[in-house]
Amino acid sequence: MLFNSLDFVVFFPLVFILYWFFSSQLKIRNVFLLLSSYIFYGWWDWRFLGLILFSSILDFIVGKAIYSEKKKIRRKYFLLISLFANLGLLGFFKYFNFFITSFVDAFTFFGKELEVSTLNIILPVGISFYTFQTLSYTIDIYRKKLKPTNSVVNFFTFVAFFPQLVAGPIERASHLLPQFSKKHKFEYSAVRTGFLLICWGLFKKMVVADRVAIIVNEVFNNPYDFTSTSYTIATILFAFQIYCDFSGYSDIAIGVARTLGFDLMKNFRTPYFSKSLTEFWRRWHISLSTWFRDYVYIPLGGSRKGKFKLYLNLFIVFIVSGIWHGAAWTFVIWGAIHGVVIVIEKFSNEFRTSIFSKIGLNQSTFGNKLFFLLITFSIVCISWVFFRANSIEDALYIVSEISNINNYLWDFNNPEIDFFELKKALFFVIVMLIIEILHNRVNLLAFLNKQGIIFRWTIYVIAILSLLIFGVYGDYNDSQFIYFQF
Amino acid sequence: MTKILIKFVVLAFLVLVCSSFIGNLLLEQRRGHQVWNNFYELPHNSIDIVFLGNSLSYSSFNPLVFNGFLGVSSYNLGTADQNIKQSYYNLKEVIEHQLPKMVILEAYALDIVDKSEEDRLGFKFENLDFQKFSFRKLRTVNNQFSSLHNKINALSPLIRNHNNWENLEVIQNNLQKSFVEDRFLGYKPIKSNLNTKKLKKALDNLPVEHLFSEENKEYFEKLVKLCNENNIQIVVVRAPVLLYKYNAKYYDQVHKNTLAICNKFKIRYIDYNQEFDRYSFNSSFYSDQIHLNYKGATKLSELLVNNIKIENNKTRTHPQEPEDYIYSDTYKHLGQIIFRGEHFIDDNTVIREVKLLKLKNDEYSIVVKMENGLNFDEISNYNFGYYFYPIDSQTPLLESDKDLKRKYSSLGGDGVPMYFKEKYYVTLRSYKTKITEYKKVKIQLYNKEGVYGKSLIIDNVSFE
Repeated sequence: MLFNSLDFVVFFPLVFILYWFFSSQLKIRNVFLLLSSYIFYGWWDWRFLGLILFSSILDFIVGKAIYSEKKKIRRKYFLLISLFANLGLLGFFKYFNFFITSFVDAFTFFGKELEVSTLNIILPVGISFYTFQTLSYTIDIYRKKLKPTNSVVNFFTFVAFFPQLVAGPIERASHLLPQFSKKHKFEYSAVRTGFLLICWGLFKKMVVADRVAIIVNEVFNNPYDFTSTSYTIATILFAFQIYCDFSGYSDIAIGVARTLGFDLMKNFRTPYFSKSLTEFWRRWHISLSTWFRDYVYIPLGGSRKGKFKLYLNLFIVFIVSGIWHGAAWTFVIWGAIHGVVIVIEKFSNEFRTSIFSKIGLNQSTFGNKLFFLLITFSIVCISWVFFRANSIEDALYIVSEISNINNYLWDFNNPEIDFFELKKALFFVIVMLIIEILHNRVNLLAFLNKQGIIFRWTIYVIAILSLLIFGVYGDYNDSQFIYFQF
Repeated sequence: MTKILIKFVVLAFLVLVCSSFIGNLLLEQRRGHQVWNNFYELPHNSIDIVFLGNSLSYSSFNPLVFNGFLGVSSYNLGTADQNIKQSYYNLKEVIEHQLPKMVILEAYALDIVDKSEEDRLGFKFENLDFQKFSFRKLRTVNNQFSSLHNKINALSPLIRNHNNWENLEVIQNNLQKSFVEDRFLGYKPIKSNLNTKKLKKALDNLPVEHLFSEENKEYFEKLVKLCNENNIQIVVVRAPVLLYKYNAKYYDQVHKNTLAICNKFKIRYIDYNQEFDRYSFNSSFYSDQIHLNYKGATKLSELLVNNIKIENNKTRTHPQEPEDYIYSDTYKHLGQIIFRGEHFIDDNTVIREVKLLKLKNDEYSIVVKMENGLNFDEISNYNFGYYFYPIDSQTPLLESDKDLKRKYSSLGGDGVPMYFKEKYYVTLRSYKTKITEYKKVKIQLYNKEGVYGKSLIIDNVSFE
């Protein structure tokens, strides 16, 4: 079920009312939440509920086994069972065909033709997210940072909690799991801000991301039909599309959870205002980057084993992150670009600091900030080309065209991109940016809560009507969130 | 919790009110919207006859003829592609506001099959858009659509047409468009002649077999029951179609089937396809292969009014349109005769009388009475030009710059004659002016070649 679908418009109010109706009886409430989450997931394809159930049962048992086992080696075996089973399922459903075709391609490259058939595998929605979430549970128990829960229902609900089941934020058991053991008191202000967050998320998704997507899809799906200006515009617009799409989903998820009394972690903090790629990853998909930090980068040795190992570990993390995003070489290259730039940033840190201080670039002025912000944004945009392009060839062609100064043409009388569509897209991107900048300076939700009823309600009505009027829906069909595919 | 629920309901109400207002701004206006809008403007319980059906109803039955001839109040609630299921629910809505004595159902509504949820979706929405919101409307929508998506689209023009926010022309039109009174009471006068291309295309696809769908039969039964429960007389009328000439066998089968279903419920059925030759219908009465033009509709309406009876109409108190003066003995003496005599336009065409009717303040009609024995088809091919030359002191009251410069005004009226008691009448339906004194009024006929015959000049006319 999609957040921006009619089904969810019916589903959520029902769940909301019944949830608060059962809220005083913890067990019933959680069973209800679990069933709702399974309905939410099963609405897409009920057959894949089996996978969630399997992961939940396995990790519940393994978690308990690890905790009760005294011998380190046996604890390790139990952890490996969880890792192999979960990553095995993820690998099969997400990467089987990718590895097969890559394997065949590699042999072809060396002159040996292989005939291996691929399987017609459907990728279960959100498998990457809930796999990582449930893995964090067993790993944390293994590390003795967490006690396993005794409640099957609570654990199963933790794995399948519908607001963040299919596209995060990837929650840690230590943060989310205890919330299922607590009775939640109905707090009007929390519910109100939850609904406002949902509206804001829907605005980003339906009004900005889906509108921008009209131009982005046109250019990226016909990559040889345009000139450099169009590629540059489409690439910048894709940066906003993916941000609004994914952060919009996260806002809705956090908002939905908040209306039910749950707190989910913040997943984005205006990432395009970052002044380095290192900072960008502290602000973009925070739940994933911290997951990789805690469960990949640190176990690899982190920064404890010398500089070379640090750079290697960083690079590995970003390659893995690229593969996590999708089973295609374009994602690997996307991850590699980020890895390389971050390694360069680390490697040249001292050198850059000294040079910048000599030429005055280290001062915290608006101009300097803007300069680094634009550099960072440009690198991110170039990497997005690989993320969005349908093939490496397309991506390389688009990047080469973007860097071809001589091909920047724009005929205002006969523009390559629908000019009216472009104006609309830019208008809504600017509106979104203004609101985000304002929210960064003043907490708009808190500000709104302080206002009188007439002002607040006017904002509520405008917000709902804006979604209904300016949203891209209906004839365009329900548009999937980009991150569902990961 | 109660407080929150109340707040939620109030907020939802506010959103609904705003979305209904904005929804109307984003709606591309269609005929069906205006038809319902005008219907609700009618005084409560003031209608004697309601016409139901699809385009064959609103292009064939002119309520003005019925009003004039029978002294009743009637309204044509035909909407595009309306089938019997929609007619049934429309009648339910009618009964909430009016208690008609008679329903005239154009039979093609029975033929239209509702094949699927998506079939004729736009027409279904058009028919529902301007119906007032009520629980009955909710039930109607629920029964007409099965998917939640379409139910919401039917109830919310805002959601359905939200993409029109970028179409400034639509919004501007809706902002400018206030209520437009429909003088023809739901009837759509089509002035054009036969579209031969359409006819040719239709001839390639002539229907072969006629059957009523089970659903349509079921809704016809419901409609009959609803009429019986409310003491409404129901008459099923099939307007003549030009295709009858080319596919008589099929239309005979249609007649047989419709007659059978009407007989089953003891309903009167009048099939003008069966009278096609008797009443000399021909291609000049049609705008395409099935729809009658204004000339055809006038003829059919005149035939039908002689074929139905309605008693004790209660609602009409004074004449409102030229048809009231033409068809009604009650109002025949009213109006100001500005010419009486014998004016020969050509050897055969004679104007006997010109009457000025004051419809309301500063609005007049002119009725030209012509002698019997004229060629009906010939007259209908003429256009009538009306020229008004005010006296010098009143020329400043002429409204347009053009008229001020030339010191007279002119209007065109169509030549489609109305026939009553062996006389033909043509009208200038509406002439709006503040001028009351004229040096002369000229009536001039035109045909395709230009000015035709001898014009009638009436000197020294005062509008009383």
